[in-house]
Amino acid sequence: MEQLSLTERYVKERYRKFSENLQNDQNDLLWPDVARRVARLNSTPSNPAKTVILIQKWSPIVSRADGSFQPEPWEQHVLYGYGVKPEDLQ
Amino acid sequence: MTPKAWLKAWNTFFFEKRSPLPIALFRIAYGVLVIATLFLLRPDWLTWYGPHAWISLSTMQTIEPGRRLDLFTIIPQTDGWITAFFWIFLSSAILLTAGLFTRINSVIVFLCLVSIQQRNLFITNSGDTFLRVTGFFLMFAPAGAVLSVDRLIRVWRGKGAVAPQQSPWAQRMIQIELALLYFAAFCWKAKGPLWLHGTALYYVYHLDALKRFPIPAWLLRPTILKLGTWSAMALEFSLGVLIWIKKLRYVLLALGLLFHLFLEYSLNVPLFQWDVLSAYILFVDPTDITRAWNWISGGVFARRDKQQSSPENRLLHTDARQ
Repeated sequence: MEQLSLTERYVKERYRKFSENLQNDQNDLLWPDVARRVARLNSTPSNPAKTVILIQKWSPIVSRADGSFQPEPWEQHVLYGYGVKPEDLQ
Repeated sequence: MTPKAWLKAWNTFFFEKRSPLPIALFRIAYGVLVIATLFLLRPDWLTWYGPHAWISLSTMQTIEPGRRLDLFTIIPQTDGWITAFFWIFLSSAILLTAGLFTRINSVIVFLCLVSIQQRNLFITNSGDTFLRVTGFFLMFAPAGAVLSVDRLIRVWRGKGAVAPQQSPWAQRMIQIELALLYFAAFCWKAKGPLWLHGTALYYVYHLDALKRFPIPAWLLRPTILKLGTWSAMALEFSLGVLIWIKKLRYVLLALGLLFHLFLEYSLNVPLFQWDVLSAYILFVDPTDITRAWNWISGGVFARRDKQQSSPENRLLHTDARQ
């Protein structure tokens, strides 16, 4: 989102909302659908996607002694891995 | 208060006839917001709702089993049908805004709105939910009684120069919905330690994904953000509870307006602030709306009132007994 223009950010806000929900473990039923769509978007007939890996990234905001808050370096973990089937790309 | 007095107060609140002007104005704002929602979604109609959407219809049905009000389950899952659905939805929203066949279009808009939310719950925000709930009550309201093409047609046909006053129960339900929205927001925040400690806004204003236009650095100081956090809670409580006290109403609405305009400026939460603000209209007294309109239009309509009814005037005019 940070890389989008103000207008794009306004129009595409639902993607932020969606990705926020996607990172919730309770919504794991969504992951296969998302992986399939990512595979379709990133496949060509000559170069079909074989595996899709959803990675979650986060950065904790911690309080400092002076009362201010500071974001820590980004961390990440693999949310979901999906082996793409030929029928997923139809 | 005796039970009889309670009953009388209940009947007065929900059923004593009033000018339909506020609900008609709300209808216009509501219609514009639905159009804006569809306009913002336009590039992604098929991305979110199409046959190859991010979430498939079958997955949504697994997540939300049972019978649901979702037109997507009965229309063929092809690009053409889904696109047609959205064009019908948009057309209906435009007609609702104009007030042509108001009742039927309010039903169509509600059904379509519920359907797109049911089709993908994971991109829906509170503003969408508010539109859905208010849209339900709008179906039962006399939303096309004034400020509408329906009204103009009735006037041209000579069916009543003055629009009759109407029972406001549907308008009251939307008002209650708005008050509940604020009160529920207050209650949720009161449960959260970040809000009680006053640090919640710090996090909100340091999430890059939510930032919109820049705000002065002094507003981001921890002390100011703490005051802002607690003020937001106090205002939400007031708008949820104290809004019903007539003497405080306009002051609270003005504060709420400033609050939402500031959020609209500083945070990227598309349309939410406008969705909520649209319902403020329902708390404005019809005579004050007429007065404001006369003031805006430079007294043109006020002079016409004295000279009696032109079709335009009759669109606005309801009854002197507000």
